[in-house]
This record gives sequence, C-alpha cells and structure tokens, in this order.
Amino acid sequence: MATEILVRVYLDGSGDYTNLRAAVIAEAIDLVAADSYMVFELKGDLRNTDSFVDFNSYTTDATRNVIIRPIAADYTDGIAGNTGTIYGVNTFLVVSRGEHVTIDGLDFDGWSSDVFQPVNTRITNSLMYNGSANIQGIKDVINTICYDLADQSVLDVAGEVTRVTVVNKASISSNNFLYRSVSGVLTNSVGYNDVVGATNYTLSTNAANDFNASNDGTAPGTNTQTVATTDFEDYANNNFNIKSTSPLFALNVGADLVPASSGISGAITQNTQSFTQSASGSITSEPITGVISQTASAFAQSATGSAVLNISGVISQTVSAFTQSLSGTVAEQISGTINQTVSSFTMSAVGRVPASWIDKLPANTTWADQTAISTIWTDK
Amino acid sequence: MACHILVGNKAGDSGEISSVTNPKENYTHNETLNAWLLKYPSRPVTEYHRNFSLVKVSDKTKEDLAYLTDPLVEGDLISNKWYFVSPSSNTSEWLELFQTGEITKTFAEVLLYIRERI
Repeated sequence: MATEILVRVYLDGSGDYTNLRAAVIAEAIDLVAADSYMVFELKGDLRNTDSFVDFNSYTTDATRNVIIRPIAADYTDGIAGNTGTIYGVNTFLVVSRGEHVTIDGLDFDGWSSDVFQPVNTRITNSLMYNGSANIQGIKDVINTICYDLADQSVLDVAGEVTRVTVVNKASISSNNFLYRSVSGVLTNSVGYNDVVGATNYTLSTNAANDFNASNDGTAPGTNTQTVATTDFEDYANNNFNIKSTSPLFALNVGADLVPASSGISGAITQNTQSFTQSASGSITSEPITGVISQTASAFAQSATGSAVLNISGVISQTVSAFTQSLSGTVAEQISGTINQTVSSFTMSAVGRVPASWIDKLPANTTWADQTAISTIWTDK
Repeated sequence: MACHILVGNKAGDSGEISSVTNPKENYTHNETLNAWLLKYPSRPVTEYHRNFSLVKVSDKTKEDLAYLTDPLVEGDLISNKWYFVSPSSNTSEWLELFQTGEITKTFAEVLLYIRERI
C-alpha cells in the first residue's frame, strides 16, 4: 500500500512551507516510483498568494496521487470563510497536467481559468465559489457546493458528478450550471439558479443520470426532484447545504458539508484496553466526514463512537470482535476498498458512507447488506 | 512599501518565480536560509538545500508585482511568463545570495535580472 508523504503548508510558518506553489515546486516527486501519495495540508488564509500551482514535475496514478486539503479541523462546512483555511488562486484552478490531483475539503475562493489538462483531477467535499471560470473536463466532482461561478459552471465531467450542488444567485453565470455532463454520470445533484433564461441542466443525457433536482424542471433522470430556496440551510447567506428537514436530504440529493458530528477533530478517544489492541495507531486524524458508531456490543465497547470515516491509513487490529466487523483498507475517500469478510459489517458501520463506496463493496455483499448501508447513510 | 519574491533554485526550476507576497518573517526551513539556520543551528551551511532565493523588493508592493506570476499559455503548453537570471558569480549580488540566501534591492535594481518569455 502506498505510504503518505505529508507536506504542511501553513501560513503561520509552523509547517513545512508558507506557500503552496513553493511547496509543490520543492517537493516534486515521482510518486509511482516512490510508492507514495502526497498530501499538501493547508492552514490559514492562503488566497491570492499563488498565480497557479503546477504539477509539471510529478508522476502519479490513481492511488499514488496528490491530495490538496486543509487541516482536519478546517474542512469546509459549506459556509465561505467559516473555517480558518481558505485557498484561492489568481489564474488556473490548478495546473494538473493530467496527473492525479484531488482537491478535498477546501474552501476555495476564486480562480480565473479552468483546470489545465484536467482529466485526472477530482474535487471532493469542497466549497467552490467566486470562480470566474468553469470547473470543466475533470474526472469527478463529489459532495461539493459550487456557487457564483462563471459561464457554464460544472461541465464535461468524465466520471461522476455526485451530490454536487450548483447555485447561481449573483448573475455571474450567463448560462447553465450542471451543464453537458454527457460522458459522466450525474446523480443526486442540485442545480438552482435565479437567472432568467438560464437552464440548470443541458445536454446531460447519460442514461444512468438519476435523483437530480432543479428549480426549472430540467433535472435529468427518472427520479427527478424539485428544489426551492427553502431546501437550503440559509439561501440568503450562501449556505447551500441541504436542510436535514428537506425531502432532498432523505434522498441524499445535494451536497452536505455539515460535519456529521461536533467536537471531534481527529482524536480518537480510547476508553478501554481492547481498543488499544485493535487500532495499533493506524487510524489517522484525518478530516471527519462521518462517524463510525454502531450498536454491536463488541465494537461499542471498543471505540465509543469516535472513529474517523475518512481514513487514509489501514485499520488493522487483532481482537477477534473487530476483525469480524471490518477487515481491509479504507483509503482516501471513495478510492478505497472495503473488504467485507463477514456479514456483520452492516452492523458495525453506521454513519455517512459516500455513495460510491457502496459500489466498492465486495462481490459477496448481499443486496440486503447494500440496502442496509444505504439506509444508514441517509440517516446520517 | 515592499514585497518579497521567492525564486526557485532547483535544477529545472532555477530562476522561476515561486511567489510574490507581502513581506513576512515566518518562512520555513524549506524556504529560506535564515529559517533553516534557526531550525538547524548546529548543522553546517553546506547541508542547506538552496531550494529558493528570497528577493526583497524595497519599493514595490505585492500588488504592483503580481504580474510577475502570470502564466504564459501557448496551446497545450504553459509556463511562467517571467523569470530570473542569476547574477554573475563575480558580482556582489551573487555573493550575497550565496552567503545569505536573500537580498534586498529596489525594483529598478531587481529588474536587471528579470526576463520575459515571449
């Protein structure tokens, strides 16, 4: 398994660099040869310090990739500036050059050009706003809120657009939002605009598109939904998280960047000796996008509801109870694999599991298991 | 009125402008020699990585010189529009950069070492 190289870009000087562009230049590496993935961890208001960040000298693949994210405590909650870390660039959103680059959890305020050579770029769990250019041609956009983007907003995504909310209320965009996702699959997403004559979804014709919402009747797929300003947490103040009381929330439609729990910043509270034996220090203080907490007595005794779901390390343990419940690697969100060896897995993982994880369950997972997990996910 | 320019020294990146920022004192050991010496006071300077040189411009703001980080886009090619050339090794500027990793100049003086890609 690839090992992590953590590069801390902290504006206050307490990390490895104070500037992302400088860090990317100085740390250039062939990650495939090194069998590693590199995390650029940001902290502070890093807007308008970089013209563009260029991965010209990197070699990557799908798992030995580059991840740009904030410190765990600063994962965006969907409200601009609400956490301490904000990023923004003066020109290209990122110069990926075809390398595997994931922007995760960032409060991303502004850019003026599309991703350069974007085919393996992904945006996950992020808040993207004030971009005077599109998010175009990238591989995936997942659980992300976009607002006040220019032109066509999100278009030509080749992979998946899942739980993406695109809102235009500032009349910056001249046209559509979730536009032309022809090659990719568009699911559980929301397009909302206030611009007369603009359309939320255009040329989004993939047969697999489903469970999308719009305010103009253009959402593609069989199970289309309608969205209104009242479905958002606070439309007037640009909080476009879907309200938990909205019918869309129960259907997992729209981005949800609200932390699943409060008071946890990556620490794992250990109450009993049995958990010490089971975790072996390999659960990292990664961003919390969900909580594994469950009712099976064996695990309840050991974890006390505070294991981070977005885990970049390996969960390895020795006590039999936990071995029975979860075995394998939960890697970087969505790209990982859950190897389920026994049926008790559905009992053990209760929390917000990304939709795409369901697809990654082992072949021997029964339909009942998948349904259970999906249902649990909606419960949040 | 002043700003800082961090200039790359690594092979393949030599002379490329990494950042133009407001003056700051919190650089890390990976960025400037002064910060490296603070972190590793007992190490010989020969171990210093020399990833970057710091050019302190005394009479321009970050906003004035932001254009120095503009990209040059030609079809599928992208590069930095502006870059630095190194002073000759027999100049006082070169010696100062070699010994301290940074230099303070007016922009008129710095401009002698900046080139534009066309």
